[in-house]
This record gives sequence, C-alpha cells and structure tokens, in this order.
Amino acid sequence: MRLRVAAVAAILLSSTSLWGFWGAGDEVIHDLQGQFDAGRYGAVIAQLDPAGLGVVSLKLGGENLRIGHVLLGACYEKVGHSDRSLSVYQVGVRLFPRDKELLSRLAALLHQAGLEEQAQPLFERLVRLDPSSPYGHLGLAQIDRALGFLDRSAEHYQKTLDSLPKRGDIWQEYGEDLYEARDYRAAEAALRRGLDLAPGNVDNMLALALVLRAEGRTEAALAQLEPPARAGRWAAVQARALWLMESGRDEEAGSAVAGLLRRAPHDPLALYVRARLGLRAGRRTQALADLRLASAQGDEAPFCARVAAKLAALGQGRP
Amino acid sequence: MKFVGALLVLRLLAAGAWAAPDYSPDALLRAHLWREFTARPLSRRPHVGLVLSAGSTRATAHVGVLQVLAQAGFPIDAVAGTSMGAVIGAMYAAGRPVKRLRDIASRLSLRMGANYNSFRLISLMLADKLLSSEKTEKFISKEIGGLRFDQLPTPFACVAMDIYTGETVLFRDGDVASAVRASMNLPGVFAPVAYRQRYLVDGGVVDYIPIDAVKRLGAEWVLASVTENDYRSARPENVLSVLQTLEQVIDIRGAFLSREQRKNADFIIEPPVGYIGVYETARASEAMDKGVIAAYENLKPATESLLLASLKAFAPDWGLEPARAAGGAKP
Repeated sequence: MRLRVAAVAAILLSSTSLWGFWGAGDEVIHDLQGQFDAGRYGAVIAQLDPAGLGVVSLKLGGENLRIGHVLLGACYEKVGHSDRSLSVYQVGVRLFPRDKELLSRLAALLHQAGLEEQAQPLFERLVRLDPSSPYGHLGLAQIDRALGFLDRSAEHYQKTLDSLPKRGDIWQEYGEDLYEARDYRAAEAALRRGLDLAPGNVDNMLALALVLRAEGRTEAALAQLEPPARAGRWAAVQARALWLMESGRDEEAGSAVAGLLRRAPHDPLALYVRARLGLRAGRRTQALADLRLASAQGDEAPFCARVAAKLAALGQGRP
Repeated sequence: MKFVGALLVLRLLAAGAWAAPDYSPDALLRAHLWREFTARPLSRRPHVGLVLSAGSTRATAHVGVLQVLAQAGFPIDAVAGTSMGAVIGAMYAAGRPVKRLRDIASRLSLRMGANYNSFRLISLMLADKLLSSEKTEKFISKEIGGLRFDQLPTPFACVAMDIYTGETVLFRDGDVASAVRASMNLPGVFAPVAYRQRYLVDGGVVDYIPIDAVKRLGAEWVLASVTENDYRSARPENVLSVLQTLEQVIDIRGAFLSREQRKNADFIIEPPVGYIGVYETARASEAMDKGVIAAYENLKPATESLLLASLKAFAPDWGLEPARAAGGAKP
C-alpha cells in the first residue's frame, strides 16, 4: 500500500506542472461537484480515476487538482473504499501540504482506522496552520482521550467547542472525558449542555446518570436512567437494578431484576444482583445457584462471570 | 470554487468508537465493585502496593503510570522503588503531586544528580575516580523537606546493595533522601555511599523490582511498573565505551533478576521504553508519555484484577462465608 502511494505520488509530482499548463478547467470540476452533490459517486470516480487506482488521473491544474483530490477521496469514502480514499488523500497532502481540507480528511480517515500515531501529527499540523481548527482540536482531543491524556484532551475539547458551541455530541464527549478525569461538576455541566442541544440523546442521559451517581446523588441518577430505560436501552435497565440494590432499596431492586430476568434469563449482571439480594434475604442456596449460572456467561460478560465464579467458590468454602 | 467537506470530516470524527463509553455489564459491575472497594476503610480491603523498578531514564515512565493511577483515583497504600524508581517513589510517597514529578523528570539531566562535568568524566576514565551522587541526596531532601521514612504520608521503602557483602539493604527507617541516594548509586560511576558501617551501591543490581519490599510494608496486592531494558534489540553503539558497557551489564543483570521477581506481582504495567538508554535523559518526556499510554491501556484489567482479589474481603459482609478469610489485616 505504502509503495503504491509512493509510486503514485512520484508520477503525479512529475506531471503536475504539465497539468498546470494544460489541465482541465473550472467547468469540468463544477460538473463533477454537481455529480457529487447528486450522489453519483461512481460517475465522479469513473471520470477522475477511470482505472480505479486511487489516483486522480484526469488532467487538472492548480486549485482544480486540489478539488479533484478532495472529490475523489470523498467519493471513495462514500462507496466504502477507504483504502483508495487514503491513497488519494495521501497524494493530495503531498501535493498540497498546507491544504487544511485534505489534511483534515486524511487525518480523520487515519484516526477512524485507529492509526493514531499517523493521524496525530497531521492533526497537529492542521492546528499549526489554523490554531482554532475545530477538526484539528477534535481529532487531537479524541486521540489524547484514547491514549489516556485526559487533561490535554479536555483542553482540545474546549477549543473545539469554542468554534462549535452548538454541537451537543461534542459537549457529550467532553462531559464523558471530564467524568473519566473525575471532574464531576464540570462533567455534569457539559453533559447538561449537550442535553439542552440534543434533548433526546439517550447516551448523553446515561452518561449524566453515571456522573450523578459518582457525585453521590443516587436519586437523581436513578431518575436520569428512566428515559433511556423507557427507550429500550438495556444498560439503563441493568444499571437501575444494580444501583437500587447498591442503595439498599431491595424490594424495588428485586422487581427490577425480576423484569430483567423475564426478558433475559441468563443475564449475568441481573443474576449477580439477584444473588446479592438473595444473600441479604437469607436465600443462600438460590443465590449460589444464580452465581453459578452467571459464572457460565463468560462469552457475554467475562468479568461478571469471573466475579460470580469467585463468589460462588467462596460461598462453597473454596476461597 | 471551494469544496467544503467540513461536515463529512466532522462526521468521520464523531463516528468513532474510540470515544464511546462502556456501558457493558462488565463495565457496570466494575464500577459497582470499585465503589464498594473505595468506600471501605483500609482495614476491610486488601492493601495495594506499588512497585517502581529500576531503569534510570527509562524509569521516568513511572511518572506517566502514576499520572494515570492518580487520575483514576487508584488507591496506593504503600510504595517501594529501586534506583530511579526509588527517587520517583519517595517523592510520590512524600505527597509531591504528579505534575511536579513530571516537571522534574522533564528537566532530567546527568548533572542533576551528580558532580558531573567534563573534568570529572576524564577523572573517572583516567584516574579511576568515581563521581559523587551527593547532589541527588540534596535534591531529594530539598524536594521532600528532609522527611524521615516514618513521616511520609504513604509508607515507602527502597533498596540498595552492600558492595562488600552483596546483601540487599532494605530502607524503611531513617532519613529518606540518603536512602534514595544509596538506592540509585550506579556502581562504576558513582562512589559507594557510606551508610551505617556499610558501603552501598544501586539496588538495581540485586533487587530490580522490589516486590518483597512493598510486601513488607503490608501490601497484599502488588502492582509493578517495570521499565526493563530490551538489551537483545537495543545493542550499545560502542561496546568499548566504559559507560555503555556498564549500562549493558547492569541492564542484562536487571533483566535476569526481574524474570523471577515479576512472577510475584499481581499485575504488571510495562511501558515499552526498553529502547531508551540509561543516559538518554533528553527522552524522559517520551518515556513518561509511554508510561501514560501503557498504564491507561492496562487500567481496566488492573482494576479487575484488584477487584477479584478483593472479593474475599467483601464476601463475609455480603453473607458469604468464610468470614475469617477477609483480607486487609496488616501483617
């Protein structure tokens, strides 16, 4: 792949100057843009890269050549050929190293593929070219968060949100980052801002419930779980049963877990909750049976299964 | 004409699973048990020991590991370290914030801990006159306010080796700074430190990962941060160089020692810094970043390991016998 890109870049670099003189005009690129907007990605690809090599081979010059790379890369993304998009953007970035659009597209694609070490310097270059670039900062925020640099990540989220303050999903990511960094008050504020902008976002509600619980506001956390639970989010239903048990509301936890187990009789977390409730109520035999059953669900939830197995062993006098 | 693909880029960035929080049953149970663990008094949960291995510049990766553990609120009830691990461990045990440790480590240089200059180096080579590590002691003492071991907020121990007997000397009392100096007193470069009728050199020669030391402080579950040299791939550039040969010998010895010692840890975090040489102090920031990444990657499995080890202590309170098996009693 790398060799292919290098070879293609060499060919392009050697012939670009000629294209600059004799390249196609604005009408061609305007037409291609129109086809892209109409969703005719195959047609755009056929014109720009008839051989399907991931290379702009239509003779274009200057700005049109740049747009040609953006269009071809975007079309390949649209039709699911990320490898070819990557080739196109890589060549484009070599031809136009200061072009923010090509840089951000290449960086985003690498980032999406999990190639953080390659993506990070591109996002950094983007931020050097444009210190307020929201895409650069968002990319860096996500990479820093994925690697564990939560403080740096929070700074990049803030800079992203300075430019994109109406993006509820980014407020949510920022809030989750702050939650992980245990800055609960700021996390709550960010997640509430996200919910104001996207009121129906159940993931945001779940994240807010976690923050409220971490702040020790169990009632508010349980209330926050209701909408996602009603929307069918299984995690919210499981969390509700677990947190009710955790806060000593055994009767409510019992009915919540009974509902869970009616729908999923082998749910390992529900079995754990019922086992704990059973132990509290003196139903030891049933509790140990629940733990043994949960311990067999390792494919679904390996940690739950290991915890259940260990507790079952302890209950049988095998520490 | 401008093709604005900003929304597409944003969608690419927003669609990633890298940022998605984990709401799996495992994650919910982990958070639940972690809450239980952290709410308990020390006497009713296992004591957590942190061990910081030797490794000179490579060992600055421990700062990155500490950064992640502190960020996650991971309890550390006792710390033990050897050599550079002792320097970092002592400052952490004294309550110095991780940010401060990072600042210090990023300014690391050979001159910081030794009376090193060109003249001294020539003396070392030609006149067989070893350098003094006294500056290390002064630096540590100033940084932690001249504390003794019994004054440290977190129990701490470090090790050195008696150059005459080859014995491991465990420091758990007295002045911290002089003990740390002895622990990181690289043989062949620094003159042995006279301490209580002994002459002491770097503990990395005998106890690269001081797990026994932290267990003596009462640790029941041990997390070790190991910054071993990858001596098989990171060959010294010049085997005729005194310092490089010495480094290679110490690293190979450390690797052999740690092979056995690491079996006694409950969990190991191993930042991939084996390629960084003892004297490459300019790479300390790189090592710290590697420490952050390695620790963050391992945070979830480390937490799970600790929680599984804690169930024995939780079980009696949950109505599961045997009550006698509760962990947490300090030896």
